[in-house]
Amino acid sequence: MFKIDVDNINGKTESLYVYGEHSILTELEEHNVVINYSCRQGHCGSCVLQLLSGDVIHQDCLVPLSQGEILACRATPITDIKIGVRDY
Amino acid sequence: MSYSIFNKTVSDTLTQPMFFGDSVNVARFDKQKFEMFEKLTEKQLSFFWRPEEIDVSKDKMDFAKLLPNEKHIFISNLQYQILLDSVQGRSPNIAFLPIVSLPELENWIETWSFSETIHSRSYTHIIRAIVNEPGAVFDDIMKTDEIIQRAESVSKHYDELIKCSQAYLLHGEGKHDLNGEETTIDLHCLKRKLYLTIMSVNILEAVRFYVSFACSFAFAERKVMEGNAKIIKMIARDEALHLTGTQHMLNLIRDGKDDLEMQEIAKECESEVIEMFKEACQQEKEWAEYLFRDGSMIGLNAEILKQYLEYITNVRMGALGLTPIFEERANPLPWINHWLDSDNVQVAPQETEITSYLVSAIDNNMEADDSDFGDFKL
Repeated sequence: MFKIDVDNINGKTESLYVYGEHSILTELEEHNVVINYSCRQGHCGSCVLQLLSGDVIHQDCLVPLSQGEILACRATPITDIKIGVRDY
Repeated sequence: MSYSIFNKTVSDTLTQPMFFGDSVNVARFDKQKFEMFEKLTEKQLSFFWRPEEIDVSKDKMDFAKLLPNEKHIFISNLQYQILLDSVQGRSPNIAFLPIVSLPELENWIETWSFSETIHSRSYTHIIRAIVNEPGAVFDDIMKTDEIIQRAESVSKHYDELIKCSQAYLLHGEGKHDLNGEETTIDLHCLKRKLYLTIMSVNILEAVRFYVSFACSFAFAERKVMEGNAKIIKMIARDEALHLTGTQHMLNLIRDGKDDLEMQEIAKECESEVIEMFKEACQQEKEWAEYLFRDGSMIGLNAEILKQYLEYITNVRMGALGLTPIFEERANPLPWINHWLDSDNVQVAPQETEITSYLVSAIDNNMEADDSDFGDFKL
């Protein structure tokens, strides 16, 4: 199992334990951590998050991402990770 | 002033707005003002599918065993989807192509609308498979008041834009006699109609369609009408792309990255847009009542569908930077995401539709700070 440390996303700071079989978006939804999303397919960029530590597998997407940014709908954890909202 | 299919004016498309600039001439994609539309087109092309590839033969037996109220839900839902795709298969081309000014956006609109025609063809494929007289299902569409009302609400903005932009392209700005009615055509008013039309299309594809998807997938959650659900899953995958297209246009306008006059219009129209979302939501709630008038089905009823409607409306408004209008709630139909997530579209490896397989995803450049081979020694 992997640990997802949620760092102040929509007011929530907590640790989730997941099997790494689903996208981070799905895992957050299943644990009632609400984030913005729209297409769920890596096109729109609504679910962008900041990966603060750890590694993810990231599928292709249409959205240009800066260093450390991930799309929750396209990323699956492969280690323990820490995620937060995007730095502007 | 009159529209030309090949504008002779030489203009730099990098400085043109998305709409109502110089009309397009050379279809060139070597340089793009908004690269996103090119990416959307490439993605849509990589998604190409044909309804005949999906086996719906078991659905005929499933359909025969459905209860009468379930048959009403299934057929009415399908008829609504047929209506929506009939509109979308032609309207983006007719409404947006005459006024578009960027080649990459023109190409996206054509690709988008074409993919909607595949959806329309797939409904015929489904209906042929499940009923003995497909014609009756199609004939009923134009005889059902509830569906005709939906047609009016999804096409009114398109119709208004088409009427006024045709007058503008023929005669320019000024007072014109349109079918005996004196109408003032000015560019600001036209841009306003355009903005509201794009918003109405976004609502159609991002809210109205998703209500119908929920009904289709609810049957398949019970392991019935699964061929239909597989087709709707392909349609939903396309629609997620399309709604990103309209969202992207609206967000470019709102952020002032395109036409500054359009940005002003977006501000002016904010309360009207919120009303549009509310109105669409109310119409869809009434549709939910019609669908479930003879009884609900296992896993879905009018009340849950209405809750989903409010939930998805909030999600879509958030994606456009608008304040959600309904109480924040968890997704009342969490299982729908299994059908909407792209990871779950099953494809044979040799037919893989992952774009990175189709276009070269691996480049040949070694960056100086690329640490992957940092500890590699010859």
